[in-house]
Amino acid sequence: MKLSLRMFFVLTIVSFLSGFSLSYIWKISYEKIEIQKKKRIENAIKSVYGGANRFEDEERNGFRFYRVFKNENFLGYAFISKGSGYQGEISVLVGVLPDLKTLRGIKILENVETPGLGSKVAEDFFVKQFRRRRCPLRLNVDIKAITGATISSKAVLKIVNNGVKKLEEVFKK
Amino acid sequence: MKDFIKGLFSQNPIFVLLLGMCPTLAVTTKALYGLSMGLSVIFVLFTTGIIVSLIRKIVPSEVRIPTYIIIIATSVTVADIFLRANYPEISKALGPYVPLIVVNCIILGRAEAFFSRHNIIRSILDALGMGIGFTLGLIILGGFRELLANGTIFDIRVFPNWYPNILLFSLPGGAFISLGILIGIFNSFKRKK
Amino acid sequence: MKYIGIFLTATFVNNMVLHYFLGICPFLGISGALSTAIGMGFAVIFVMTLASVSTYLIYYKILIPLNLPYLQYVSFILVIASLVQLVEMFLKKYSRTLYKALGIYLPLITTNCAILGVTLFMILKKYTFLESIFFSLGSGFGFMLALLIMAGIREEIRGNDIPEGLKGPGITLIIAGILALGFMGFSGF
Repeated sequence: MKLSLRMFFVLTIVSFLSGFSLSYIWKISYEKIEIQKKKRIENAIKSVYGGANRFEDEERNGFRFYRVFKNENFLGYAFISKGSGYQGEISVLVGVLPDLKTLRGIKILENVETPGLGSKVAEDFFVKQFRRRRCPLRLNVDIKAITGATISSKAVLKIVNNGVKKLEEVFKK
Repeated sequence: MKDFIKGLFSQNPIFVLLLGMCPTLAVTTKALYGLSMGLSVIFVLFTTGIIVSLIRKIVPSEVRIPTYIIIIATSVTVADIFLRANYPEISKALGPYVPLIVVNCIILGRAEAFFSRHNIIRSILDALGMGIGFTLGLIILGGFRELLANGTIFDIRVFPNWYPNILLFSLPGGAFISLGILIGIFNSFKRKK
Repeated sequence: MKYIGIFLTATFVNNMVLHYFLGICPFLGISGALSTAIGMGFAVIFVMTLASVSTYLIYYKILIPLNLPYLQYVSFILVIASLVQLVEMFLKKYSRTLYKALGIYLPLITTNCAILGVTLFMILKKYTFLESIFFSLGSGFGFMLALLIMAGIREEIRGNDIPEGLKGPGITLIIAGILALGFMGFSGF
């Protein structure tokens, strides 16, 4: 009896201390994590919209997007679109001009494509092709696919097209 | 002092004991990731070592494993929150392999075999030795793979620009092969001695 | 169709051992003989599926509503550890044959990173409940497949002339590397 009581107390105290210390650490770090997340998205938007310095985020019909401003001038929209690539999810930040059709540019936020082949979708020479293009994009007409990584290139196109379509639908309603 | 030195070579967790293989293979595409993983493991070993050796006389042996697991998981969560708050890029790159430190055999193994039987000072020395040995192994493997796959170490160019990057070494297959080769080299070196 | 896709992807493309490097310890240690590989494989599939079901419920029904995401790792590993204990006690009492077949592998499973790995990936990939079940089943089968292939090859090369230093883990890792390259051929479907 004495032993099981001791077991009970030790485990309870250890779990209690563990939960207590974790909730404290979470409380002091939570804001910092959120700020880092926001900063990451804002930096990505800045790399698409040069000179942007003000962002307003908005959610309509479950679709989250940002309005991008330079001082008081409205530059366009930005949003994150995700989809599956060759090996896993690719997430892309898309910038669209106020006409809801023309791309300002894109940035690949995350990808797990094959290093050296599919992963080239994140490189400048591929991403640059999206500047000032009108959606929907067609492969090898608007955008040249990466040699040896057609599936990854196609996936990015599809993710961008789908995202732009969703944004348009949000504004139609 | 012997407690510290043995983790570096004669009982190196990666090349000799073959412990903690999952993060070893997964995060070593670059030397930098290997280093960050190693530092996280050192932190977890260090805190677990202190706490386990302090409470070793209070914990009944029937529940020692669950107690150790709670302590380890707590300390891993702290490391994970710290990385997410301060180094989000590294945290993203290491992904689920930081929480997987919980089941890294090195830590539970050391808690069971060493921390629960020795005083705090010897435990700290052992934790640091094992942790640094593990980190060294990660950096060597990460550097080896990064060098062959990108021609760089810690993102500093080592091979000239015309070096044809051997992408194999940044793929999962390359990870296994590199570690196999390195263990082979380590073993034959040890045997000659 | 979606579920079959998740299953096949988890088995072949994102194989637990050869793509995510999870469960390497038993992979290197146990895969010496075919029969033990089969036993270990089934034990892993069984526990993995149970673990992902219970951690799914705990994460989405308890931790998220109570806003306690930071307890994820602590609670997951405790669930897995106690689950393994429960399964062991249950089998011991009700099915001697199953216990004899799987019993000796069960204690090893708690520290098998593949189990915790599957539950973490399930949350990371935001799978639904059903998708998680197929994902964990597929991962379990993938694990067993890798274990079986490895055991087969190792039985085959026993007695081959291997350089001194590479004997044991060295050559096993190199074979695993070649296997991983072969499995890359499954990518993209």
